Amino acid sequence: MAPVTYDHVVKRYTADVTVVKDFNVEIKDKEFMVLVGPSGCGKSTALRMLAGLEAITEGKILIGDRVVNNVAAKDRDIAMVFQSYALYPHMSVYDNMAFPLQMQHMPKAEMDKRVKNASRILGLDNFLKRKPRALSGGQRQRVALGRAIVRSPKVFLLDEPLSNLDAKLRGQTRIELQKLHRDLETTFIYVTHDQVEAMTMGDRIAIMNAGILQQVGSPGDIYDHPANLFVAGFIGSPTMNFVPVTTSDSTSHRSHHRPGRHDRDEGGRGRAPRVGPVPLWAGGRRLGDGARGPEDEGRTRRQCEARSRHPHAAPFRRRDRASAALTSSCGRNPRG
Amino acid sequence: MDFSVLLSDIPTLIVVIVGVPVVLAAYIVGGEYLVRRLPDKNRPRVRPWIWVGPAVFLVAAILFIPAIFTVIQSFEDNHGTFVGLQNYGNQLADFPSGGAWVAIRNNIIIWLIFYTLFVLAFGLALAVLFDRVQYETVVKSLIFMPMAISSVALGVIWKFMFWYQPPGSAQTGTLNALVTFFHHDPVAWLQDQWPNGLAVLNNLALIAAATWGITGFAMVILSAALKGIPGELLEAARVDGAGELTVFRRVIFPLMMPTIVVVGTTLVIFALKAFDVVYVMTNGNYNTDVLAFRMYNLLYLSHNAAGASAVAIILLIAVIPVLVFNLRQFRAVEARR
Repeated sequence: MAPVTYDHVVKRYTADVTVVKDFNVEIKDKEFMVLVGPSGCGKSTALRMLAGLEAITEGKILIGDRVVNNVAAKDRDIAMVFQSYALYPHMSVYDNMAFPLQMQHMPKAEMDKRVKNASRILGLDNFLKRKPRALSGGQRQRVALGRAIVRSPKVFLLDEPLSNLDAKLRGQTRIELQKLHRDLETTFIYVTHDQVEAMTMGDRIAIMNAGILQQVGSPGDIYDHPANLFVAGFIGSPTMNFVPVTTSDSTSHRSHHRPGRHDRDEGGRGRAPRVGPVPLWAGGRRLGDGARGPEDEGRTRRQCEARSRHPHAAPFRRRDRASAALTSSCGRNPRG
Repeated sequence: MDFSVLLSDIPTLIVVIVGVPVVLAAYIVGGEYLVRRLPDKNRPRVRPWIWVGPAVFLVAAILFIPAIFTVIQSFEDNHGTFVGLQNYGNQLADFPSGGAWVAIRNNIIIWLIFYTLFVLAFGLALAVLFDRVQYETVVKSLIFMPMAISSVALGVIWKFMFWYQPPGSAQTGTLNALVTFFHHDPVAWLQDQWPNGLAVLNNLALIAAATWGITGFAMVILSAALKGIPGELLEAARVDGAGELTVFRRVIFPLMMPTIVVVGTTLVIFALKAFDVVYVMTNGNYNTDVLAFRMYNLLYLSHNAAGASAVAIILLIAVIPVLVFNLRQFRAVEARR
């Protein structure tokens, strides 16, 4: 139970390979924080630096108010669930869960109590004597969780723990993890590339791309007020539409955009109009009247990503009725 | 050079170059032809034998049949008369210093224990330690290199290392040069019977030389096993609060155990077959005899084929349990995959 602070953290492998750039997040005590982003965005590296599995190139990481930069992984009092579960194949389920406690030289009786307790919570009572080899994927995943929760660590790290489960089990486990978080009252930091997991599980979400933190906020906040086009495009299912529009100085960038072929002609004259993609939320709902052309019937859910010339246009909020027309290039591509 | 010999051998050469493939091809084509004429359900049972046939034949002709003759010979004298267990009696007479007892002790106690342990310990330590450094491949290639040296050359090199000159004269042996540098009398590594007749020091000197030659082999196999352990497992152990030594003891070592056992039993067999280093470095003197070398001496120096056969069978009996264990273990490892 402790807050975690990333203070200007940088991870650099070589002079020109920087995987995490100036990462700043404050994770509150008992918070469920999700780090989300496309693969290779540095989210796992950020987590592994916290776990002590990667060295920190610059900046500080604090657990509670202790700087842990030079603290070995074993002394950080954190628990981690790996994507592959990383169960010890030569140990029984019981020994797997007891291992972190043995490392603390905990008395046998107390250890037994804790392991039994965890196995009861996770429904592993009947498997304690089995080797991980004899378990199904979902059961293995529970053992990995059990190994983490027996210790009552300060911080709980989960690195894509659900990605090896089938869709149904993933849905169930998502709910169970949230329940677990409520019951344990511990700081959870959860890494995933799946924005659905992020949106449904996190108290707050930190979105990363190419090593740079894009936005931190509650799921609703991020959904309604994406900070930039990347966040707007990454969050939400189905994804947000982007429509290239032209804005002129005389009007607000949100009103009466005229897209398409004429941009160039207009751009040639006088007041240079601003051209760029404008995201439109179309999740399940129809776009505003002005957005629908005859050729767009039934296609509002497609993502229409246009080649932007000025990617500066501000994203719309979900509830805005965008009075922009879809480009013809978008309409012509029935498969999106 | 005179190539006439080569020329006169041309017909033989042609027979070998052309004849062997032709015979093999005829065997395969003929075999397959016959197999195809069989009813469908017999075919899968017969076909494997056509293909393994030549190998089985070679193993039988070169290994099994001579082995059987050796067993028979070990119960006969050198003129082919049956003498029962007399050859074994001769070899096992006068415990503990007569007959083959010195060789048996050296082989089955000193070599088997120390050679196996040294090689495993060094191989494991090198594999685990060098796994963590950047120049791993370079160092591993260096340590593997002695494997490329013939064991005779290896023996000669180490004989120089252990070379002994009486105190006072210049020490050309590397080890004695070091020893005298620290104002200690030179040690006759290969002759010294210390402690009294037990010949531990010189046997260990021989084992050191053999260990140097084979450690690369153990290291490479163990290192491959080590690389097979997923990195996340070690990371999990570290996060769980294990220090590096504990990670090794509780995670790495148990997971490498099957490989360690296979390498260990292979080394035990190598230890029991020890010959070349002894032959080159001490010629079996100063109580450093081993069974394989005793067998060789009986056969070629004493022309005592019967005695040599008896020693061979003693060696075989010593090897069999290890062999069986090794095969079982190997199968168990395979089954676990």
